[in-house]
Amino acid sequence: VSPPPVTALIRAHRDGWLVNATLEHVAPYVSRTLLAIDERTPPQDIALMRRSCADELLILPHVTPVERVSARLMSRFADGWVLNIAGDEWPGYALLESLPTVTTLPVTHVDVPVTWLWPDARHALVGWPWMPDQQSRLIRADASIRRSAGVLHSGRQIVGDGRLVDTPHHHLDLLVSTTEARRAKVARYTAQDERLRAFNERQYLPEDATPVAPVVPIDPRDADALATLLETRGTGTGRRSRPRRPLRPSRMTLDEADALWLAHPDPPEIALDVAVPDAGDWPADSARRVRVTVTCSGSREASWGIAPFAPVTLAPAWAQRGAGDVQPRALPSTPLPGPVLPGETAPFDILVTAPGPGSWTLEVRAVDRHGTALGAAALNVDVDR
Amino acid sequence: MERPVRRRRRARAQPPLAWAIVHAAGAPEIVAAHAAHLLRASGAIARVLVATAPDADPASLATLLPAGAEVVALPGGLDRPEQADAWLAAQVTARWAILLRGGEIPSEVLLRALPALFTRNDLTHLRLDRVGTDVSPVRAWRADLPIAGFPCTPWSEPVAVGPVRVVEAALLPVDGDLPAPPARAAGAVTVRRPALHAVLAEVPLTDLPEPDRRGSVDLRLTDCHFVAGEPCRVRVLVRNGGGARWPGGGWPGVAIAVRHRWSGAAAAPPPARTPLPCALRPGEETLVLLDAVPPAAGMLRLELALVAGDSAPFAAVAHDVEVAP
Repeated sequence: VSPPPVTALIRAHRDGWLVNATLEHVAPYVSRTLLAIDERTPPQDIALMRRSCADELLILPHVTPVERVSARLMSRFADGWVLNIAGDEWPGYALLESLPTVTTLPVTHVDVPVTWLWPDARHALVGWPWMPDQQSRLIRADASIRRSAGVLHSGRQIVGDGRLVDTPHHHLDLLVSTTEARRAKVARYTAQDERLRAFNERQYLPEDATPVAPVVPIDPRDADALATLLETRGTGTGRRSRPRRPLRPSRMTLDEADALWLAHPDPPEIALDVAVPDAGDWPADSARRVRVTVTCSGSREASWGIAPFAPVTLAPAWAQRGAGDVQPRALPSTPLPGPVLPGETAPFDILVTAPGPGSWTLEVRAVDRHGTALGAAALNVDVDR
Repeated sequence: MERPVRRRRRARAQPPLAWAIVHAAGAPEIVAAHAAHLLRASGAIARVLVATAPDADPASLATLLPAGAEVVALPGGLDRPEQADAWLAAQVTARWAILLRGGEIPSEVLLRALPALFTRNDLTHLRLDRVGTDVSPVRAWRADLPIAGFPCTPWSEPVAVGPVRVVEAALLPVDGDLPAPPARAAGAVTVRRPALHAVLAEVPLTDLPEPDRRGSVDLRLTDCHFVAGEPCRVRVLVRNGGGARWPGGGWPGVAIAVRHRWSGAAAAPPPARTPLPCALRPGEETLVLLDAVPPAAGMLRLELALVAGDSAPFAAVAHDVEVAP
């Protein structure tokens, strides 16, 4: 049986026993496994992981947020599909057995339900905020259909259709992390966004929930395997020792990661030009195609993106000529529709609706995620009745 | 537990870089032949499918085409050549496809740019400026990814999602006499004659016929903890039980959606529709995430159904659920 063209990518920073057991569990169902670990992973865990059955071991720079390395990591895959697994997750048998089928679907990604196991390996929490937690974990390995914004909890942005399946992907964090460790995690996340305090407290601390958080039993096959795994910490799951020499890890440098980090603090250098290609009058309240030509200088690409994490957005606005300091009327903005590499000039079209009759200036700005202007251009337009 | 034995995959053969689809209808055949020669000579196009009108003589056109071309004799009964777009696109087994309408010639700018554009990994489609017009339609797309759709209606153009590049001055109208392409011996170019039903089978449905309005919706009740006035994201399993392919939301074709509405409350909001996240072939199913906002506390009824455009709902089910204040 030839496995489907799927690379299982496991990202971890601890618990080598669990990671190795998950690799053993997944490997028969995929064509390749890549274990990517944080450079601050405890040495004893690294030693254990070097004995895993992974095809490749990659050491990532320690960064905050962890999404900072995601774009570079995903750039390693150019063919087939990638199944993304965190170090404290374990894909269910039904999901793994469905890979040959779902990877033939005419979709760009498959969203799987992440189940939060609690209070033991045989049950999953239901209801908000644990379910539904449908995540795009199986993605076509093609750079043109996905973005990794590099922002905390931004996930991946993917264009095209996605199939939402009901084959679970189990999250074990609530079982393998102590209550104290999870309280510390809630504190860290809340420090970054206070608005998420209630959500994080409920999600990571189900033992504090009143009334008691409801649970349902999971697939018996998964339950049996997970119960054994957690009880024996991987030693009783038929784990084989690595027949070959220990894996020799490769390394990703911070510079390599940052070269593709879309949230990099140094923005691309951009110059704009704006024109209206359609000849003739522009009646009030009518929409017209406006051509915005983007030139990228410097060394950083002006990247296309998907709202709300687009690194570059084209923001048009109308300003009435001779109206003094009146604030321009902002129009709907558009994420940069395509990439512009350093040294390239590329035209794009945006649709702009004319204001009322009069003499106006159409201003188009390229702004970053925080609204900072990266470049601008303007065009005088006389709008007819 | 019995597990599959993993075997190493053999390296898969890479698909050719690009195929071209050239419509011959609407202009002298020599124009399509000229376009085919230019595209093949660019080095970016491995194969050219030249689609002829039903009343054309495919054998005579074949003598004008370059090696690596194939004549597709479109069947009679099509309203317009655009109706065959989806079928023609489905024949492409390359990484990219490029489409020219009858009477269009690729410019030097385009021909020079294509090899580099087709090897980029950060674009899903190209918009090509038509000189002398104010339109810039999607005319090239990644054929190995499900990112393009074809309305197949008269004068329609393909649609696509993902990162785009606009090529300026890309398509030229026929202007004056064209040089005759080198003649080839008859029979050197193959002629394919698809059946009308095969071509029409790829056209997105604009309405779902009654026999195909069959399926099911199934609420995943374990997700639900309803609180009055608060959105609750629930999962609904939708299955296509008919014999036709249902288009995904936002793509050409009839809009199929899950409709949900509340009953049992004094003031219930109007029904809401949630489109399918992907296309569904007969027998396939997908989960759909919908945000349900109970209008009041108490025992309410959540009614679910499938709708196709403006037609009557089908596959209706209802669940009595308890909503917390």
